[in-house]
Amino acid sequence: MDCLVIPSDTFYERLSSLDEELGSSTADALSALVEALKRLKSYAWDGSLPLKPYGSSGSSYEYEFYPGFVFTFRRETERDRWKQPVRIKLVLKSVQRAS
Amino acid sequence: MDVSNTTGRQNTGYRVVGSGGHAPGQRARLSTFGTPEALQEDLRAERDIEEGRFETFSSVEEFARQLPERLARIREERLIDAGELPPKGEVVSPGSGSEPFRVVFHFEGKEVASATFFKEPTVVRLVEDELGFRVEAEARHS
Repeated sequence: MDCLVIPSDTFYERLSSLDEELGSSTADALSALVEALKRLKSYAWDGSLPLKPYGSSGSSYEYEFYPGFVFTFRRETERDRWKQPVRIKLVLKSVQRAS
Repeated sequence: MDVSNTTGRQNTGYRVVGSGGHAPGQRARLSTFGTPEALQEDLRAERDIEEGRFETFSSVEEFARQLPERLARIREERLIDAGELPPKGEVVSPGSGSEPFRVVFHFEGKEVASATFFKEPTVVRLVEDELGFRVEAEARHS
């Protein structure tokens, strides 16, 4: 299934903050971020990934992609006329410290 | 004044500086998930999406490919904000007709072309041909 990745400006700003904080470890964190997105793309929603829903809409999640850090995202599924999923969108909202 | 890059190269840049100069920005520290600060950030990200402040990549792989370049840009902007690097390019607006406009284009951190105008042009663009980079401008019609 196709997967669009949609980073917001806020996400990039926080990525900068993460870079400032991690310094030379940023490359590892970015690799972990990409790996997390790849996993999300084919995720069966079986509870096997370290993500938790939050908010009232039920479509936003936090994902601890790197020890001590989460990224937050919203997942949308586009469906065809037979209600079959054809594409998912991962809207990347922010990078935060894990609580 | 519009400033554009027609070379097809991705990592050229310029910065527009208003008459007051570029104020160093303070970058926010990471918030902790679940705090009111993080909630505000979440709302801000949703507003970004509503108001078109986002990028779209057709795959995770495409997003991954641009990340190193994006990170390099983020770092450069941070150094500029901290005053540790000069602005990548400048358009200084004069208060009177006596001060010229200067536009500087950079590629991979180096100045590649610049131009000075005594009258504000409407469009300034960076072009690349067999002789190298140069600046082209369109005059303002008055």
